Parts: sequence; structure tokens; C-alpha cells
Amino acid sequence: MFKQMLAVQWRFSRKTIAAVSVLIAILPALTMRLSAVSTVNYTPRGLVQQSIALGLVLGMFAVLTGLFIYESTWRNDTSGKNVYLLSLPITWRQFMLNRLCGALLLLLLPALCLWIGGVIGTAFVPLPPTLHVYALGVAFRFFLASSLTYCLWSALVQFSGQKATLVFLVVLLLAIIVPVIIAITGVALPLETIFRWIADPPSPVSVFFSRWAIIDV
Amino acid sequence: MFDRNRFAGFFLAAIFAGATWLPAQNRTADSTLGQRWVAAELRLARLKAEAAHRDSIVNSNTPPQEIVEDVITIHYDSSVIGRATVAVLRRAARTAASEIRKVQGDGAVRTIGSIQFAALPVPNAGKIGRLVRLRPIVSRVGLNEIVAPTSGFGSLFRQYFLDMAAAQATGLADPSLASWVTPVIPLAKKSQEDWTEVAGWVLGAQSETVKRCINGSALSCGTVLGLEATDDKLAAFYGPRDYPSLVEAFGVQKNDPDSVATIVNRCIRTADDATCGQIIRRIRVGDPLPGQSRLSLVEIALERGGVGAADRYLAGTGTIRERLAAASGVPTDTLLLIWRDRVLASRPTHKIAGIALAGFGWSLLLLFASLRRPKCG
Repeated sequence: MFKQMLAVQWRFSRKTIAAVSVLIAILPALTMRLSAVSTVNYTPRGLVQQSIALGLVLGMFAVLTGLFIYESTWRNDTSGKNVYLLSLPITWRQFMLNRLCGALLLLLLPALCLWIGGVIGTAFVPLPPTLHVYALGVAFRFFLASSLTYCLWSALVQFSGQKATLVFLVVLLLAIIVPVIIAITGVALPLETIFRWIADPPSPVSVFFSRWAIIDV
Repeated sequence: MFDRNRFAGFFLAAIFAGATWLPAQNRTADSTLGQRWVAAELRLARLKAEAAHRDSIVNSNTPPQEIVEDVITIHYDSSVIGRATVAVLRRAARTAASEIRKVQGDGAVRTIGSIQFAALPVPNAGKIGRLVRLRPIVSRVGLNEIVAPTSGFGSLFRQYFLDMAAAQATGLADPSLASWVTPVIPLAKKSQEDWTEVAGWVLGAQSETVKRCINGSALSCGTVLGLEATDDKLAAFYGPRDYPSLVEAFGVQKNDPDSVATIVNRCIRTADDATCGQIIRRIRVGDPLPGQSRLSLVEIALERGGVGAADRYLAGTGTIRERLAAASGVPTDTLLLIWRDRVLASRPTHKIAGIALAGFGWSLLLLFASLRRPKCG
């Protein structure tokens, strides 16, 4: 059953996956090639800065990849209001698990391409001994970020409707009320601690705040 | 049906009623000027009173209230500075004082004496945007002021206390020390992030001498940290491999002839030693590391030295090398290698295990959240 479902998912999303994979595979090489116009860019600090900038772009691509793959694999089912899926001779839970596992497998492909692209793209850069290539680490982050986006989007869609609206309204209300209360009462917020809490594991967004530099010290 | 006379009556009544709202025209230009004069005088008197009030807080020997936290004293007037503001200031002063103690130990009072501030309200700041102005009373550290909202800015005040204490210590220190590093003493211990930043400076520097330092040469570490006298920075810090990027960073200046521009471009393009050598001497090169990296060496020295290290460092009369050796209790070359090891150990951690756990954990959680069966249709 899993194989068949994966085949269906692949058929609907292969164009998206191919496009994203090719794009992110050539991005590291392209960035390094564009950097080569300047010797300042090829200093250790310059290379790290270029890699951090590339990391920001890759982070955005990871989010978009998660969303695109969700959209391409679910488009036909949601337009048919899931009638076909609910008529299948398996439970919904089994179906969802199969589909999510399939999606995670599909998301591995762009990450794999990024790893290979990162290794090839940085192979021709004259690296000083103080710098190292972290292509595998960045590819792993890419996979994590895209999977997380996929799962988050999947959960949001399942919760859509009144509950999602309620959650959104509560968050919005808190976002308005809390700053006003803080301003009136003069409570000192430990901003640094709050930032660390958001940026460090086990925060769900810690993967986005981690170092995405393909070349780093 | 339509009564024209009644309509006209209503219309006129409305005009008269509206006319009562129009501004009166009987005021002369003279009386307006007189009123403005009186208002200006009142405003001037109010501003004078406010200034006198603030000066009385600053200059008074027996101020109305004070916060004393170790080496930090803040004078304030409880009638104008609210309890919430006082609480923020107290907390910031306490944290700053404890951080100063952590670095300087019992020598903190001997090193910086005490730093005194007057906390003044900023007029017309409003209730929600309460502001407070901190003004150092001791003139030796200058008259820098800080104006900040009281809510959520305790860390800003803490940093300000630390900076002023650093300035105070620098003012008391030997000028030769202050010319090597300013402030002369780190007032707070560096966090892991701060050390990671230092590692970024060192490992990212384009300098042959820094590379030799990383490879274990204490002499090179001393050179890049300014412990050796260097008249020729280019020869001391940089090698031919560094020239193209130095030349490119300096660029072609406005008054340079075309021939210079040609050589600059050739140097950047070919990275040829001979070509770059022709042009490199006209460049005024800087240090490969920021001045703050020297402060990290002082921090290591104070850490190693323990009790009284700050005193020995500040009170010494020899060279910087000798002062650091006296403060740390180990030879400076050993200290430099300890510094190098600390820098190399502070490379950014990629926290891959934590991120992987968090990422997969949250993905699983969201996955279970999305297992709910949708309604058909």
C-alpha cells in the first residue's frame, strides 16, 4: 500500500521536486562563482559571510519546499473534498501515516541534492585551514526545516475552520494586550532569555535560527 | 405640502445658531501678544523650576533617596521616579555590581572606587512611555547620559552601569594601559556567545600572523594582540598572500593616477606577488583583529590570577606583557597559548543533536495532530 501511495505522491509532485532540487543543488556553486569576482569575498571572513547569506536563502527555500510538496501531493484530494481518500479500505490514521512517511521520503531528495551540490560547489574554493565545509549539516537542516513546515502545514489544514480561527484570534489578542499590560505595569522583560528560549532547542523554530553556513569556522 | 416661509425661517434660525459657534472677532492684536508673553513667562518659570529641581538632586549631598548596590550608587527623587522604575534600576545595579565583582573580586572598590548616578525623570514623557535619564555624578567618567524607557530595559541600564564602571577604571589606570586596550578591564565575564564572536574574528581574519598564532605560535599571538612593538604593521601582520584582498579593500583612491589603478586591478586579478608588492606600500593597513579581542586576553589573565589579579594588572608599572604575567601568575607566552586554546574551543557549535531532536519531536507532534479524520464533503 505504501509503495502505491508513494508512487501517486511522486507522480503529482515530481515536477516540483525536480525544479527545487536542481535549483538548490546549483545555488552553492552559483554563490561561490559570483563571489569569485572579488578577492575580499574569498578571505575567510568573506567566505563565511557569503555562506551565511546563502543559508538565509536556503532556509526560505526549505519552507517553500515543504509547502510546495504539501500542495502538490494534496491538491487533487482537497479539491475532491477527500471523498476518494475516505473510500479507501484503510483507516484514516493508516492513510495519513503512509502519506506523511511518503512525503518525508520525497523531502529527502532536495536535501540530498543540496548536499551533493554543496560538496561540488565548495570543492573549487581555495579554503584556508581555519574554515570547513558543512554541506551535510546544512542539507540535514534543510530536510528538518522542510519536514517541519510540511507537518505544520498539514496540522494547520486539519485544524482549519472554527478552531483555527479561535486560535488565531487568541494569539492576535495576546499580541495586542500583552505589550500594553507590560507598558502600563512597567514589568521588565528578560528579552535575552526569551530570545534564547525561541532560538535554542527544543524550540520548534530552533532549526531556522541555527547556523546554516555551508562554509564556517 | 412645502411651506416656503417656514423653510426660510428654519434656514435663518440655523444660520444664527451656527453663528454663535464662530470665533469672536473682538480680540485685538495687542491683547493676544500680551497673553503670549504671560504664557511664555510661565513656561520659563516652570522650566527653571524643573532645572533647579534636577540640579538639586545632582548636587545635593543628602539626596532624598538612594540605591546602593556595592560599587554603584543611584540618587533619585521618589516624588518623580516611580516605584517600578526604582525596581528596574535596583535590579540592573545589583546584577551589574555582581558582574563587576565576578571579574575584579574584592579589588573592585579599590579599582573603580564607586560610581554615582542621578536618576532624573524626563519631562513630558507620559505615563506609558516612562523615561528616566541616568547622569553620572563623578565627572571623571564624563557626562554621558542615558535616556531609556523603564519597562523591559533593565539589561540596557545594566550595560550602562558596566560601561561607566569600565570608563571609571580606565580613567584611573595608567595611560599606557588605556592606549593598549579601552576599557582597560572587562567589567563583565564574557558569555559563550561573546567567546564565539572572538573565535569568529580570529578564525576569519585574513592575516598570515593570525594563522601562525592559530597554529600555535605564542609570539604571533602576542603580535596580533598588540603585545609586541610594531612600527610596520604590514610586515608584522600580513604576508604576500594577504595583499590582493588588502589592495582590493583599499581600492583606488580619487587622486590616484591611471597607472595606479591599472596595477591595483592587475594585483586583484592575478594575485601576483610582484605586482601587489608594487602597490601595497601605499596602503595604510589596520590590525587584523578588533581591539576588543585584547580584552579577552585580559579576561583570561584575571581568571587565571584569581584574587587580587585586577589590582596587580592595574597597579603594575612594567610593559603590558609583564602586567599580564603578574596578573595571571603564569608567563605571558603560556597565557597566550591558553587564550588561543580558549578561542579554538569557542568555535560556533552547530547543536545538531538538539536541533535534530527538536525538529523530529515537533514534526511527530504535528503529525499526530493532523491524524484527525476529516468530515466527508
